[in-house]
Amino acid sequence: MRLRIVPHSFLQHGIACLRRVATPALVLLGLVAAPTGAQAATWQPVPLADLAATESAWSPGAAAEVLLSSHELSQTANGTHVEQYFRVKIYTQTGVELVSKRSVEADEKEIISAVAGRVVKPDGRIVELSKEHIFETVEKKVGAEKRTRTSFAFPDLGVGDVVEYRWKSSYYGGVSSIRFPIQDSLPVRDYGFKLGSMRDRGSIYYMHCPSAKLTEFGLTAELTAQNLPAFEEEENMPPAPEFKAWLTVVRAYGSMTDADIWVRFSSYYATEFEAAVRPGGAVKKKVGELLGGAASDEEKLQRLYDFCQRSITNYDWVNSPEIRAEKEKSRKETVPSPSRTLERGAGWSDDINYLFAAMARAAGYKVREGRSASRTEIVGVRGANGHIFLDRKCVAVEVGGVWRYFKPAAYFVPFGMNQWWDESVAVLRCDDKVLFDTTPAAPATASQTKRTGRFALDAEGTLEGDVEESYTGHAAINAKVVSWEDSDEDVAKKFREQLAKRLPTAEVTAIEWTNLRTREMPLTVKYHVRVPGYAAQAGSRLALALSFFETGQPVAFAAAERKYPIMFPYSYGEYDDIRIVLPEGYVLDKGSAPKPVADGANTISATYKLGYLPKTRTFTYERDFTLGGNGVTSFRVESYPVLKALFEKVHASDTHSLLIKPKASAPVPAPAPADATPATPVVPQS
Amino acid sequence: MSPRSLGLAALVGLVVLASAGLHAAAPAAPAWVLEMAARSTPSTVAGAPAVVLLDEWNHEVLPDGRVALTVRHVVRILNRSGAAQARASVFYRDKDDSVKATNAWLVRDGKTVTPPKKREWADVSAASIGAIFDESRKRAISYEDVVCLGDVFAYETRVERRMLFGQVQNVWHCSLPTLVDRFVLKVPPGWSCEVAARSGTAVGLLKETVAGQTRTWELLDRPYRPDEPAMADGARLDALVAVNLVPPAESAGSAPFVPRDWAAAADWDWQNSLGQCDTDAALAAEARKLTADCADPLARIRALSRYVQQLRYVGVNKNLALGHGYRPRKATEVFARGWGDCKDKANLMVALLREVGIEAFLASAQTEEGRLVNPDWPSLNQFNHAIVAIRVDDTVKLEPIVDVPGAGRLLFFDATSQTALLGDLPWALQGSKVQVIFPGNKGLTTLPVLPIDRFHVFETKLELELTGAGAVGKCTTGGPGRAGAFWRGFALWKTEKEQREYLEERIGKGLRGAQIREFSATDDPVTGERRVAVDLAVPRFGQPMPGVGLIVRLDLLGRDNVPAFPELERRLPIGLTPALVRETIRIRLPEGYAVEEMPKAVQLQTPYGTYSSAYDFAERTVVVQRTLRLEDRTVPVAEYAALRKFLGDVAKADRSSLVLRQPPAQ
Repeated sequence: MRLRIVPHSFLQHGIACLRRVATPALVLLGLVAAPTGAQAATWQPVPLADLAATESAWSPGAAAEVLLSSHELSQTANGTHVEQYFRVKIYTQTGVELVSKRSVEADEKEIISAVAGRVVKPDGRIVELSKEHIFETVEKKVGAEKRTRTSFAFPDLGVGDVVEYRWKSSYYGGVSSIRFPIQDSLPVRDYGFKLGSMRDRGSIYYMHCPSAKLTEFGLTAELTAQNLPAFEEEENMPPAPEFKAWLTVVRAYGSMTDADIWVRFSSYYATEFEAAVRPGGAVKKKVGELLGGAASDEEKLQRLYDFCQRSITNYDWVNSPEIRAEKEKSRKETVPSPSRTLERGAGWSDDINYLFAAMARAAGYKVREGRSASRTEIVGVRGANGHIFLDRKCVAVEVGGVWRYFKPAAYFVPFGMNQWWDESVAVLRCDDKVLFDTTPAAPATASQTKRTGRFALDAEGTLEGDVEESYTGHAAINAKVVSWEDSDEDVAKKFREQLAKRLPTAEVTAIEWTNLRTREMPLTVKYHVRVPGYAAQAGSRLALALSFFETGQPVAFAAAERKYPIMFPYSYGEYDDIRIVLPEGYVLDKGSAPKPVADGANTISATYKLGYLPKTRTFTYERDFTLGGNGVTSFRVESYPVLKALFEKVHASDTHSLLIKPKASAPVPAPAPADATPATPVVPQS
Repeated sequence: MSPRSLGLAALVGLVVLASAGLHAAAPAAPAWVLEMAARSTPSTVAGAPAVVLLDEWNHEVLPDGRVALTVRHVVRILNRSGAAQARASVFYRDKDDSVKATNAWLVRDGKTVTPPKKREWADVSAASIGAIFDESRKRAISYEDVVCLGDVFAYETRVERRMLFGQVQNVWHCSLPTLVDRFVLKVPPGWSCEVAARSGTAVGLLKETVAGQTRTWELLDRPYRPDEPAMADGARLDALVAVNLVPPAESAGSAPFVPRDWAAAADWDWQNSLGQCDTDAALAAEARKLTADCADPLARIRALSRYVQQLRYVGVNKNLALGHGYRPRKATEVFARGWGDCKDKANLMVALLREVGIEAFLASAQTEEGRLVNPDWPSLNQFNHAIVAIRVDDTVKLEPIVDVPGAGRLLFFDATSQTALLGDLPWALQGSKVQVIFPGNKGLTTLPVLPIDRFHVFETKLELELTGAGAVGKCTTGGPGRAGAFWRGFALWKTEKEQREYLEERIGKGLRGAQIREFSATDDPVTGERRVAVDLAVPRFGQPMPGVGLIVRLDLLGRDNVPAFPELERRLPIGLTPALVRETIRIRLPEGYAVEEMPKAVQLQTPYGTYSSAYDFAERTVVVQRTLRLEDRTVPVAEYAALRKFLGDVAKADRSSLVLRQPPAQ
């Protein structure tokens, strides 16, 4: 049996899901819950130093510390077994709360047995977890599915105690892959994994743990790791599995090498895909109709894409009485058929993507299946066994020698884009070879937010006016997806609540959405807003923050330090166009402009343009912000101080205020229409 | 046709049916569902996600004293958000209750719709928060994924349960518009119903009918009242009817207990808990050890209160039908385990106090809308919590002390709270009605609302020194009472990293870019004051204004205590939580700086609260003092605009700025 560690850094593999080899739903032979309680458990003595410790030697400030945790995986004729063990030291009262109760969940295929625990006091006394401390509850039971929870609360627990607990999970059958979390919300001093005798022919480790040591003993193996700090997520970080230690055991396939396995999976997916996308006569005929007159590849593919997305009802999104019967009947179809999808005019997401593939093939393009992982789950999948993470499918089409990736079933995603979590990811183009691409990311110009405000300010600092916000690309897609299951009333209510978070006195009325429920772009929202106290009183003057749309926003990256890299979902741009009419009798008091911000590489940039139309007492303000203008949205942790400083500068510029003051002398003439006079530039930027 | 042929035909039929892969069509919805589904939706419910066409709770008392509860519910889905209403659940207690029927239907255009795949009712744990075991369960089903706009979802459930008390109550307080909201009560021959209490803003609209042994109360056409911020207790309480079920004389001994007055309720509770307070040598020794250094009774009480409050909260809810939901575990057992629920902890406290010569009692309380406990209906069903009432003499001068007839001067204390120390009460209990459990206690006791200026004070002091472009300084925040409890919980339940992040976020709302250097806390277990002190640096403080100087914003401290009301319209009364927020900001200016413009002082006085701000500049230090006081008050809907105006004026006054003049360049 071969075992292998693949040491990782950022941008390598990720999550495995627990998948068992399917077994007949028959008797679980030989799996009988062992007696719970101390009688069945043997414990190793706790070192005196650990009993006496008052804080963690290597993770100071920790409320509790996992001194030792382990997993042991083995297989017998009866099934697969995992034994888990934990030893935790408590340093503070918070630690008591964190460790106080434990529970283990199991589904109907799993049996939990040999639950045992004990508390070791600092003076060496031992309090055993007895049967009366252990409770089993059926969490949920529906038909044959059942989930149970075994819970226990340690007796007599206090600061300084060491808690130990263990249990065994057993299930009939083998596994194709099984994942074990190593790193936790508490620091872990020592972690051990044992691979016992396995019935399946060989197993391969797949692991992400920087400080691990693997030792093989013939058919078994042990892995240890030390001093794993408590894992705590940070804002805008890559997916946690990129950095949180875990271990996966993957079933081996005889003597196949990693490369062989990749080829095998790639060809397997390719073969399945081929069978699913054969264009029949009806599909070819439809393609002919759709592409009549289309000149370029772009136009052809867009017609096919739009047809599949807009003319084929997507069962994953739509639920109406008219389609209900067919929709449910379709759940029983086991073999995809583009012809059937076309004829029915409806299908599930996979059906729609297959139809597109079949149509593209019928139009003469080479098509393949693309397989990738979501960027919210994992980033790097190209290493050994990375195929186990590739659970997202798309259609790869070769256009002019370049492979492009499409998913028309993505309900709101326009042609030429993918959902942001499918962008900038490694995609396996399934074939009899292993071919990887990286899906492109939409440029910032594709996700543009344009916000227009026309306001008037009164002498008490109340701002009132009309706003229009429009969104394209990812910003629009996200808003539509999030609102899909909300009524119009709830959308309006949430909109007001969101605005109130940064402008608590804001009164919003006449909210009107366009394209919220359709695929058209841009998505726009118009509303009327009144904000008492918007301008801050400063004696006889008013301090006016011009950037209505940024006022009250928190500054990003407030933390002084950073542990993990930074990853933004996508590139985007914002353009704000604001006009504010000052109250009668007020004038600008020595204006100044916010400073532009740029990093020189077009990663982040913010420019501002201010003007003042004296005849109409109107401020004009334009803000142009771009993140990822050069396509870069991920940054190493070393970049954090620079990034933080940039965002602070942007924030300072965004919240730039001007002072206005009452005019001392003659009455002010009636204001002319807003655009009658060219704007007078404000004092050049300082 | 021969039997063999018939059998064969049947077998073939079965095979055909099985091979079609279809589950049997759902039974047709019963007539009462179709009748309600045929009702039209009134135009007045516009905006609601769904309209309840019928909500009926039918209690049938069975001759053996058990009660069969049948619920019928019919709801029409009106918009996307309404799909979530296509769910049903029925609660029951494992082993004691028996779920007799669970049915659900989907009706569209007057016809029953068979759901796409067979729907089964899931059996789910309904454990309360903090419980590691709970007999409470529910059966639940959802049609959320298949329901369409305009569909009618209906369900009927029936559960037979053993009654602990011969009392039932029905509350009309729906949030969705409801056409028919009905409570039916049927008792066997020889039994009678005593309506013990009726209350609610719409109780006068209740239609009551009596037909033989059956009584029906019905409220029609209730409006749509979705959740809103800061809803007052009982904001949606349309009506409440509480009924005692009186058995015939010959069954009185075996029928569920009905407390005819509060004394009977207290007696029952007392008997139910008898013996649970007994101690043993270990417990007695612990009591003595914990109070060894205590000079007086108050010190002993305080020492024991801290011990019990730190005991872990773990609930194990068993034998509820036998009254164990009201019976604490033995004090000796709770002590040995080191955990318990509210009644366990309160009982342990009573036991420990008795060991050191201090008498105490359990008291039943209600943590949700405790001010609405109805004194006209003696019933333990009105309570969900247990606290402690400790007898003290005149030398003890703490706030939550009430003279209770028959028990004397009692100090009330919540042993479950880990953050509200002795002398304080969690806000949810202040003003609520409790029953002290001792034999013959005839009434309820109203717990005091603790004085705003000593228990609801939130104090923040910010001292900054301007240093060129930035500032350094210290922020101290906290207070006694609720503020102390909040910060105590903050330290207890958050890791150090989480605490730092929270402080950065909270301080960063006003002081953009503030960096926390260090933070620490002080906690006074006697006064209950807890304060957090933060050393900070603000790299960019103020905005330079060429030709003017520096603009410094003064809305630096946030307004977490003030509810936000983004909606212009309001349907339900508002419940204000009292608070006295005091803020002092001192900004020391470098040499040569002057204040060019100072905000104007503001004074606001309204029935909802007051606000004042004052600004001063002396000895190079700008001093800003603000005080906001919110009263403990229910604000009727008609005054919503006035309340919003007050809070808006507060926000306006907070959003003030200083203009500083920098010294001329040398």
